[in-house]
Amino acid sequence: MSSRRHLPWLVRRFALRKRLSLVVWQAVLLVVLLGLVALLLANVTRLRVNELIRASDAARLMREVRIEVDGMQFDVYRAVIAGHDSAGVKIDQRFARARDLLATCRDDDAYSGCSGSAPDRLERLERHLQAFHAGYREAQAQQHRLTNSLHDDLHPLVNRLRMAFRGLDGKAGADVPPGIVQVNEVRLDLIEQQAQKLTAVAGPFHGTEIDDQIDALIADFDRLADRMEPGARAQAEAVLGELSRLMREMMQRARGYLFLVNVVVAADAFEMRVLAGLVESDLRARRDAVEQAIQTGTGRFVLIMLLLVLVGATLIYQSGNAITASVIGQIRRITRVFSELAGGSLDPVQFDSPHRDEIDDLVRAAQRFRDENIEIRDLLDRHEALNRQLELRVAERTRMLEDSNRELGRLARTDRLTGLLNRRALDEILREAIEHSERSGDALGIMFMDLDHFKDVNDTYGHETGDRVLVAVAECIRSQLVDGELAGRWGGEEFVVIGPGKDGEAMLALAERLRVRIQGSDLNGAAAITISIGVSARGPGDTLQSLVERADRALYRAKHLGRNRCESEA
Amino acid sequence: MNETTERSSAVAGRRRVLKGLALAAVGFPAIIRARDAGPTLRVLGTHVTLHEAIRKRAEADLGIRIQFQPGGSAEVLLRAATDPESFDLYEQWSDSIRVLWRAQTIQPIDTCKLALWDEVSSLSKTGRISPTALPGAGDVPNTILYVQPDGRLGATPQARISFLPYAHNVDSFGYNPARIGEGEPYVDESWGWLLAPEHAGRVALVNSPSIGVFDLALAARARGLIDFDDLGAMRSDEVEALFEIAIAYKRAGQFRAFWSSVPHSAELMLAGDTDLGSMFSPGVTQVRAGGMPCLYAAPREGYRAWHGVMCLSAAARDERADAAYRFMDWWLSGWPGAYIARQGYYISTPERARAFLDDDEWRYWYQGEPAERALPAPDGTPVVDAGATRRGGSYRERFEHIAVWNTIMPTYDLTVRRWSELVLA
Repeated sequence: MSSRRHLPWLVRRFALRKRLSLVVWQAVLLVVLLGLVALLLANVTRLRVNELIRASDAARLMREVRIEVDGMQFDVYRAVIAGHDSAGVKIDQRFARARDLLATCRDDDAYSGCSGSAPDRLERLERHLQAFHAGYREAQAQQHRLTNSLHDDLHPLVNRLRMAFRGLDGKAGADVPPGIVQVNEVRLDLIEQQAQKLTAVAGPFHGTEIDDQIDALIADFDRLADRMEPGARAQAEAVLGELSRLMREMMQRARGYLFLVNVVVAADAFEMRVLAGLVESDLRARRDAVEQAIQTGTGRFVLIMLLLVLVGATLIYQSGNAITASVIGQIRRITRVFSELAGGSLDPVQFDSPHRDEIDDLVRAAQRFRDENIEIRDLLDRHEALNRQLELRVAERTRMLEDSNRELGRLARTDRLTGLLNRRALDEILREAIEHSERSGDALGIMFMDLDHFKDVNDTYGHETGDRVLVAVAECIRSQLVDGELAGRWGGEEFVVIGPGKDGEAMLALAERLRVRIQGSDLNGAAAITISIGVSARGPGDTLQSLVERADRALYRAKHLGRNRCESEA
Repeated sequence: MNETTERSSAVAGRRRVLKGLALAAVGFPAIIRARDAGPTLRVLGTHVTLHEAIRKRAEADLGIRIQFQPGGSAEVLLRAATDPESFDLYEQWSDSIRVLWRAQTIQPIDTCKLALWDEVSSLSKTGRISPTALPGAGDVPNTILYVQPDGRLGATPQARISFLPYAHNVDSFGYNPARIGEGEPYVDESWGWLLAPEHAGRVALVNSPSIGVFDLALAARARGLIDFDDLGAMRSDEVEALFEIAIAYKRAGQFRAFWSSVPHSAELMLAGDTDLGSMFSPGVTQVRAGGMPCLYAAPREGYRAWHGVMCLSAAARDERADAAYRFMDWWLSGWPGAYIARQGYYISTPERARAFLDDDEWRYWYQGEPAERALPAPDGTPVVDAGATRRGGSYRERFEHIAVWNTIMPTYDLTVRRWSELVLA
């Protein structure tokens, strides 16, 4: 197993099929991941959109609150200053509506925007709303009491004073300015008008004017009082005192409700408007922030997806590459193995395949391939050995045949008895030697030998001895020859020696040496053997025939001259 | 209306502004108490001085039963002006004297019956804390103090007085020095800041026509937008002109709020809605307690001063009147003066109060010197950091800088009408 360490991890870890499916799985995983991320981000966006909607709804609610507040303020004026009774109902309606809106804003989850943004402000809003309504209620109550005082208390008092003053009419003395009663009547009218104004419906009042009127009335009354009956005077004084007190009370009361309407309620309305506006702008700011967040989120979403795709694709590409490389690497190696095998390699298949996969199948196939290779190589070797054997045998036969042929050839040119050249061979050789000599200009000598009295030997000793003598002579001749000199049996007891390159003299010397040698040898125990020799050398224009004829003539002469001698004919 | 805040403010013992008449509906019972065990002194007034601690101490010192009936300013004024039978003593501000005096629901106080009258300071008696001090505009306390032989109120000293002068102080505006650069007292600090364009939208005004009109007038005058023949007695045309200016500013968004209570004024600043605005000193204290810096300006145009008045009900007679006189004398005797000094208010018999204050307290509250230690409020909680100095300086220095005294001017009803236009503009 340790040998597998050198293998790439992927190869070690995964079989081929698994590696291929790994790429597919990675792609699938990326797609699933992308889907999940998209889902998650879509969900986040949905939450944000919900928040956006909540903030928008809450802002709308606050706007409605503001509208109700403005409406209420207007209705308070209608109710209190213009005396529109119907306005009171509207105020209560608007108050209830604004209160409900605020409660909704505070409590309803759908509008969690409001309370989330500024719970403190919302609380203050509700407080001011309550204060506003309570202030209005109080103002209205004060106004009602004022109106009741006007009708129930003031008018009777004024009427009683008016009657008292009228009773004085005509009784005016010198100390009383004329018309003072009428003046006081006018004053009373004015006081009544001022009192009317205290209800605001009749227009604005000035406290100082009322004070002045009352002071003037009291002053005038003091000037008139002396003319009254003591009882009536006391009564009138009491009425005047009561009127004065009542007017001042009414004035304070009027100031009270006007203060409520103009100062307290107005400030509450303003504060509500500001607070609602602040909450609304808070909400709008948050809505904008959420909107911004959604925009940024969408941008980020796209970016994240792009990144994921990029990173995922790169990873898949890289791992795919690695996997492909691992597969291709294996295939390449196995291909190399196969091509080596195809080249006849017999090396053991060096391929580590950790899995029983297709690669492993190929490796097995390679093993089989190698086994086949080995088998084929064995066959070839045997075949070659056979061939070589065959060739050797053929060569041997050929050589044998050549030897036979050569022997045959030699036999064809050899005298069977003596082993010297036979006549045919001598003819051939002589012709060739003459041609050569003619071409080269070299000398050429021949000699004809003939045993002397050989007929006697045959006749005396028999043919067998004769043959022995012939063989011994041939042997003797042969032993005396040197390089290039050839000897042959011309026929019978005639021998020929050919001496290429030897002139007549050299030939003659040789012939002499031969004659001596034969003469001296004991060729035949019975009788001495001698020999006659005729020598000739080629001369210009010689043919074979002429050369042979001259040698033959020399021989004849030797014979004739006594045998055992050498004669030459140039 | 706003019972909660009223009550909480009662606990805090802080001065409140006119706050409507919400409680008036239930506030007019004919209070006729059984008198089995001697009279119970009924004191009608505001939360500024009607403290339980004071009531208990007075009961203990005087051996009488005392009932405090605190309420909103407008509410108690209406009661005092219409129902003298319902109270024996009335504690409020000098600007209510003219109304009450005309309404004849209060009776003159005989200074001969006040053992400590001679010790009452010159500020209350002459309107000036020092001979060189300029009297402010409006109803300077001494001008409405003395009951003249013709029954009117005037500055000529008389034996009979319309009210006992007791607590007093000066008001101005508070600002957050972290947002607005700190100015030098009496030099940089100006009422004009209220209308400064750079503070647009971050200004609060007190929601009270009678005193808010002075804050506006001082601001407009400081910026050279308007002048008055007599700041303390504006004519109708002057009031109209002032409101035209103020409304224009309001429409341009100058004012963020019109506060109706001291906690409201502090809340606005603490919420970061406002950077400056007319304030009462307890509001400034509250802002600081909330962890935000707040300076109570010493405007170069001078302060808007106020003087507390203690009035004797026209219906108080015999032993009730005696009890009321004893209570009034007790107020001058020192302990109450020391008590309110720790709230930052001055008393008309400062030397008496000094005996009940530690030396360092006296030096801080009256002499404008740096606090040598953290100084306590009446309830003992620290309200002044060690080393802090009262802005505007000593009692004398502050009261030498009075622009106007709180006054109900003859044009008050007009001011109230225009006020809503300003608020809602």
